[in-house]
Amino acid sequence: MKCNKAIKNSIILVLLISAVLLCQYQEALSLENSIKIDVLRFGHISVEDPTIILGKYQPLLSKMSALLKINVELVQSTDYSGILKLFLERKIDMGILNSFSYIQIAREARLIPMAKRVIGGKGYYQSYIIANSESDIKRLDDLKGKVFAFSDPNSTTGHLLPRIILQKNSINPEKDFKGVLFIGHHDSIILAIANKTADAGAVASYMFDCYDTRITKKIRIIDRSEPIPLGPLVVRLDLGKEWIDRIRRFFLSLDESEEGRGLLREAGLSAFTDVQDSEYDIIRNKYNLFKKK
Amino acid sequence: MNLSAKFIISVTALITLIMVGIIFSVMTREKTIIVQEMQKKGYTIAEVLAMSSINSFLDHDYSTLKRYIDTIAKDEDMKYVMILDFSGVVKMHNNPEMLGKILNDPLAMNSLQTKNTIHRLYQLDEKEDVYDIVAPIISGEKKLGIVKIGMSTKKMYMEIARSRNRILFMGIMAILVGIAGSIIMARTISKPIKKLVKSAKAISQGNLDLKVDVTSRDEVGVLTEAFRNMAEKLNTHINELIRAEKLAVMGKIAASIAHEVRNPLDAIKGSAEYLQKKYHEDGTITRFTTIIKDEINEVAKFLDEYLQFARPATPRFTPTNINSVLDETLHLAENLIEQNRIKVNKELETDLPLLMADSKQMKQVFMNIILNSIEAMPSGGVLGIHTFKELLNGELKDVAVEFSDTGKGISRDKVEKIFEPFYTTKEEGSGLGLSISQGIIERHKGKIVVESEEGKGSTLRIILPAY
Repeated sequence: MKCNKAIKNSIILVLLISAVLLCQYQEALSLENSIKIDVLRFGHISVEDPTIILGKYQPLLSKMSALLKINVELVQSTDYSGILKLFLERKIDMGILNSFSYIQIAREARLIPMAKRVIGGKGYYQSYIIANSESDIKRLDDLKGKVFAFSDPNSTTGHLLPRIILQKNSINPEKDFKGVLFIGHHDSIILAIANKTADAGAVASYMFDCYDTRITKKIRIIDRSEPIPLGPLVVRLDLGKEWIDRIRRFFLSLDESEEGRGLLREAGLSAFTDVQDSEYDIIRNKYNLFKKK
Repeated sequence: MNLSAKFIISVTALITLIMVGIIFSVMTREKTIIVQEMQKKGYTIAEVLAMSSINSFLDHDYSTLKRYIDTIAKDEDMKYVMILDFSGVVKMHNNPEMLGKILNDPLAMNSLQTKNTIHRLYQLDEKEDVYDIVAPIISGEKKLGIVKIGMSTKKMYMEIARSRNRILFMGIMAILVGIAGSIIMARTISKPIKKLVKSAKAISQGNLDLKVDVTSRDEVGVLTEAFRNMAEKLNTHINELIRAEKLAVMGKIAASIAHEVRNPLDAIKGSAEYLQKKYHEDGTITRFTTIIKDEINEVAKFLDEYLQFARPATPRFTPTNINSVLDETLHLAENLIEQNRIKVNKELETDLPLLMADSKQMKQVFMNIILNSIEAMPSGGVLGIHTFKELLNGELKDVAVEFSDTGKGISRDKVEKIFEPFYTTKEEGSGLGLSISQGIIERHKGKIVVESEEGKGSTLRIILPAY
């Protein structure tokens, strides 16, 4: 029986190994089987006004189109869910996602991370809880009874992280705030607080740090979240190994040439670096923890 | 003030008046247009911004609103662009410092009440005025807020000033050109008038023999022509008056000569005849008495001519055929013509009407002229005699008798004198022949015209009215 069990175990092991091998083979097959593509569609999560994103990224994408000898289209939507829907429908081949959106749709949309953005020399960012400097809000406790502005429900720093911060400080947005606004673009949040549409809000640190100082000087930072990795540059697995490698090489080598650095500067970036999916486990954990409570 | 000064002043005044009117109206119009354009532009910008802002305003999409405002604020006329909500809070402003401030200027407050685009002009600072234009942002029936823009009037006033200067410059140029034109015109008109004035002064000082140039065909030209004709006629009449005066004097002299000279001459002639008869065998006496008689005959002949001239006989008009009178005269002169080896070239119009004329006196005139012609051709030549009708508008007006010779001719300065009494170019002769002829023709209401070229001959035309 022992022998039988051993045989049984070995058979299961062989089957498991073959299954794993088969899976890998299939994956390899799908990778090798590089599809003929005539246009690469690039999407960018709607952190700010689509026209601003267009202006920032168009030169970079034109360069990419010229180097890889393929048309590159920028696909836009006004809000996060619009872009995510396009990814899920395979209508976007590659693009930049925020961390929270990435962990939500990567599997379903068959996306793999290719590179990670570096902004202002940093590969991570934070969520800032901000308020108008003319207001009496100085600590998180002062937020009660005020109007609070989140950016997009799918935003990491504009929704998930501030929710967690508020939760930790025993503030229930639905009960303790006079009003909650979902304002969408991060720059709109900054402007909304400056023009007193909202008393306070949450915003991505890189958006706030780079913003017009004539406006940010009217705003005070109440609290900061812990650093989290910047959202990844993702690509659709179906594009095939060949294309994925070519695209990755293009983005990772950008900061090596003067021209590339110029294009990155225009896009508001310092560089693209290597990334591992596991870097985003911190968000996954936070999200899971937040959901349970 | 002379004519050209009057002309220049009045034309200048007229042009200036008209131009000032034009300049004023164009300037006013131009100003209105510029101001209207400015307002229209402001209204359009404000209303378009208000309409396109509705969705972004509702969504709190301030980044889009900011983009709109930043784009509009690039226009250098735009002093400010802002979006306020209905309570007057600045939701967006081209100057970020203004975000969140509450604006409560009267126009903004007023426009929060109305649903129309309104504007006012106010002084932003000491240097410039601003068109403050406010358009409401309305979604359905709900008023969300207002768009408020401020447009600097600086450029507009500069544009108005520039167009005013341009119009003024053009207007002044037009006035100057007009003045220059009027001066030139005044000169052109006054030049012949000045000439005319000069001529008139000359005439008033007695110099009738003047030449006035007619250069233009306009009224001044016509006036000059008329003036010249008047001067000519005046000259003719004065000459006639002088001649009449002379004739009157001669008439008186003739009367006394008739008594005081003729009677003694008759007595002398009678005495001489008596002496001749009585001493007819004495050769000496006969010779001298013959001389006396002959000379007295010469004197008597001269006296006859003179008396005839000074106290001409009244013509007795009878229907006369001029051609027959000419033939009779030629017949009388036949011998003389042959002696002087002169060929007669006669061309007579056959159907001449009968004229009321004194045939005896006409014969005398013709003879006188023929004799003059013969004398003008001492070494022979051709005597042309020619009669013809002169028509005016198809109707018979005059009958002309023309005598032409191939003689020595008369110089131009002498042609005018040949009709003067006692003027003669011959050694013998009273100088009365042509004067008498002229007198006769004038009493027939006709005239004598002489054309002569020295060395080629003369033509003398008698023109008699055919009635």
